Amino acid sequence: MKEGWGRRRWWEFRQGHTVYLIFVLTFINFILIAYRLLIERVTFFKDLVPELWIFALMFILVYVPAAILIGYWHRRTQLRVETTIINQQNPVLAKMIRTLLDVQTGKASQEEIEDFRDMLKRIENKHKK
Amino acid sequence: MVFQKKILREFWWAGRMGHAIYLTISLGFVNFILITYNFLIDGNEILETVLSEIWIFSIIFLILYIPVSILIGRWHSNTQIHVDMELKMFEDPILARMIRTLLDVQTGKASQEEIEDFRNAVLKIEKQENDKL
Repeated sequence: MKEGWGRRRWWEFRQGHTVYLIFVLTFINFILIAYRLLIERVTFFKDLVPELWIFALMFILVYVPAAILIGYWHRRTQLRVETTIINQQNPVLAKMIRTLLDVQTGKASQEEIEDFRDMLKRIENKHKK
Repeated sequence: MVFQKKILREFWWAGRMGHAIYLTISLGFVNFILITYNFLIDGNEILETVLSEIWIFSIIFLILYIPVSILIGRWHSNTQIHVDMELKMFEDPILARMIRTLLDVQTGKASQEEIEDFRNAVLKIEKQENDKL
């Protein structure tokens, strides 16, 4: 499939932004807001964390392993539930699999096969139904 | 009524896509620039001499950010996406069942009862009668 140069760069930009760099931006935002608007204004916190860089370091040291542990738990326990729910809400995939099954078992009529093939062709050619 | 409901849901989807894929990037940039400039650069003697105005900081940030993001995204597309897909596929029991049953039908391993059960389950998803699953 041929996609435009600009569209491919837009996809790569979004991948770089949403999967990686957004973390850096969000971390900096959080660290600056939390430090300037909370820690600096409360004496108790200010005594605990006297410098911005100390707070940034502490935050990253706690946050990164916590995120990895939560992500690992998510993959082992939650992801399966989510993919199941998403697939249960995917009638197009279900139709594709059911029609392939019906073709295999001889249940699909010639007309149904043709309709299904037309639908696939329309998807291939990016035409809306 | 059902048609109207579908249109509303499609608008809701389009709005979410517009927000999540496009507009949120601008919001994130504006947030980052304003917060970083006001809480870090402004008032810092060294940084203020280099970045004396917020618009200079904005332009430098965008000029650096966009190509870096494209390069990282390119690396991600070429090396990481297949790992993500693999992890997801290994945690996708419904798709695995669909492909396995098709394979079993092809090789003659699937019983008539199994084929019927599977066909009913898929038909319920197709007709969105998931509460009966």
